[in-house]
Amino acid sequence: MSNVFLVARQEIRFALRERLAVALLVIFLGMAVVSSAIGWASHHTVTRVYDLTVAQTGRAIPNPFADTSPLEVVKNTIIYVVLIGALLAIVVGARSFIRDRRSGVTELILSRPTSLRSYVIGKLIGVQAWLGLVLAAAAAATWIAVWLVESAPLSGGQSLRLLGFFVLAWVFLLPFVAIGLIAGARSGSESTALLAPVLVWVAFVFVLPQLGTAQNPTSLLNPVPSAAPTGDLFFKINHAVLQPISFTEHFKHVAGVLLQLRDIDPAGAGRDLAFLLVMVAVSVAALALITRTAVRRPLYA
Amino acid sequence: MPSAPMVIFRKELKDALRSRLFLFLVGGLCAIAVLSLVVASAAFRAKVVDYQSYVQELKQAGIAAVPPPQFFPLQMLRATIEYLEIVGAIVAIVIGYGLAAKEKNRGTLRLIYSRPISGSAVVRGKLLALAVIWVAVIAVLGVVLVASIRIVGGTGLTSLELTKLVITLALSWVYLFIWSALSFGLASRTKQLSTALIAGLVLWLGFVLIIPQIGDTMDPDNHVPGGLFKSFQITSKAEEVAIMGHFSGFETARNLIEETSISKQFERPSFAYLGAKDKYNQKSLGYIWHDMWPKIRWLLLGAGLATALALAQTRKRILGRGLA
Repeated sequence: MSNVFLVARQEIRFALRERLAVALLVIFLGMAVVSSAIGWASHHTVTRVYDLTVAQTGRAIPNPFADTSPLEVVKNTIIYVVLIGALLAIVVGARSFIRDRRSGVTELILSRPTSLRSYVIGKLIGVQAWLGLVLAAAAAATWIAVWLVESAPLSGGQSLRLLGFFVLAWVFLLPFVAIGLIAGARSGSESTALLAPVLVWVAFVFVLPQLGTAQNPTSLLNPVPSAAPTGDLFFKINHAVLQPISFTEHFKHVAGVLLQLRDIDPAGAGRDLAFLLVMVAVSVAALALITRTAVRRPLYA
Repeated sequence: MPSAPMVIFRKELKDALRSRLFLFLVGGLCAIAVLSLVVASAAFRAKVVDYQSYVQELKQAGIAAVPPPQFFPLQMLRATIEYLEIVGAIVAIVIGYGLAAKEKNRGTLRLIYSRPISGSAVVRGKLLALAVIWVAVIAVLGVVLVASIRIVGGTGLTSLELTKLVITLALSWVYLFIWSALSFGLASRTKQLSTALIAGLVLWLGFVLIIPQIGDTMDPDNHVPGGLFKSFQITSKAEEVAIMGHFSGFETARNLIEETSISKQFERPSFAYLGAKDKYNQKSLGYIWHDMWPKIRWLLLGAGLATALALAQTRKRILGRGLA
């Protein structure tokens, strides 16, 4: 067990030293803050459009933004977790093995009385711990940003919901870390190790949801999950088959419920969370694909 | 005897045809394009089914039927263009990166430099190869799309539609070349090759996904399902424009943000030629060109800048960075 924590501690040290990982961290934190500002600016403008329209047309239209949660302004963070967070997880996961294989550290570690399993699990724990630090910083930055734009701090309940969202994001990123680790350990070249998980990410974020919902790829960048169209057998079958594994859509749904977004129906959130947890379990089990033979293969650029 | 850039150019074409990764990526791109067409076709069928059940309800209520949804084959390519924007750009980054990375990795750059060949000749030969490789890929994609429209959509294209498709494919060529040239420039410049690949992916994330997403979020009409103005029962564009005229600062900021994304400069004219936007559907080539020339100009400028970046790496010292 101590070997696992040794590897994990080393991973955190490397992640903090690596310039690209730190650059991605800064981008992610920046976007978490920007997300609140964009959310507030859009919300504020739309409310003014509403006021002006009511004044000019004299129509008694219910305000679509009445009684929305202050967490509504951070809804774009959901999509930044799916985009930037997942890419960050993939890069850090893949680079973790690339670094060790390139420098020959893998050979050295495996020559010691350390099992491959401890080595891999240590890496997973280390990368996840680092991502946990990133998300904790993002949660604090978001909480302060919402306070600033709303001119009032979040209540205890709302703060807990925000915290719950970032915990969910941490769980959601685990499969991407695992895919990155597997690609970094098994690929014959650095470019394949980075490219392969990015293509898997494209499949989960765009292709699978599109096959089941007919949404265009860029519409899937909406933080609100897509509904399946009715009336066509093609989509009914696809939705039934692909929906359980479309875990980015499950994340968007559960996150939307946690943040109390206006357009989110809470029904089915428990089932989506269960699907998400199954994907996490499957991705951890898939780490068994990392073998001694694979990590000892030479690595090309 | 062929000139040095032509030797490099021919070698690159041969390498591309022999590369399993290249063939896999291009094959995957074509497969996604076909898949998106199949989805679009099924979505149209679903729309027709919905329409028929709606007409039945209207008949029972004694209300006159509304016109049926019309089928425009080029509109089925909307998702294909979006995939080219997203997945195509990744493929382009990898291909551009590979052009520089393989020489550094295999040590062949040292061998090339042992001959009387300048760095400039190497870069020019490789850029020419990139341009021709993308012409070939786009041509294959075009044939696949026309055949798929015929098979999946059950219709052919008129000569005007075919011309519009060719223009859209030409725009796709410019867009994909930009990403390949940019990635080639980055991989030539950096000491650590994976850094170039990650930098390319970060740029892709920012310009292809994040900036357009911010623009969409800032669009007031996207804040209510079905559209803000429709929820206010405002159907006239003039009335909508009059209201938004009071928020010109916000609209200008939103437009500026969107305009900085090269993928938006590719998407807008492509959607216009395909008729994905109602305003341009079934319009003449001249009408669309008049409106879309400023976007196309930005796209061409992007291609010029990416090429300039790649050409700026012609010094042997820069190209040789990171050699083992």
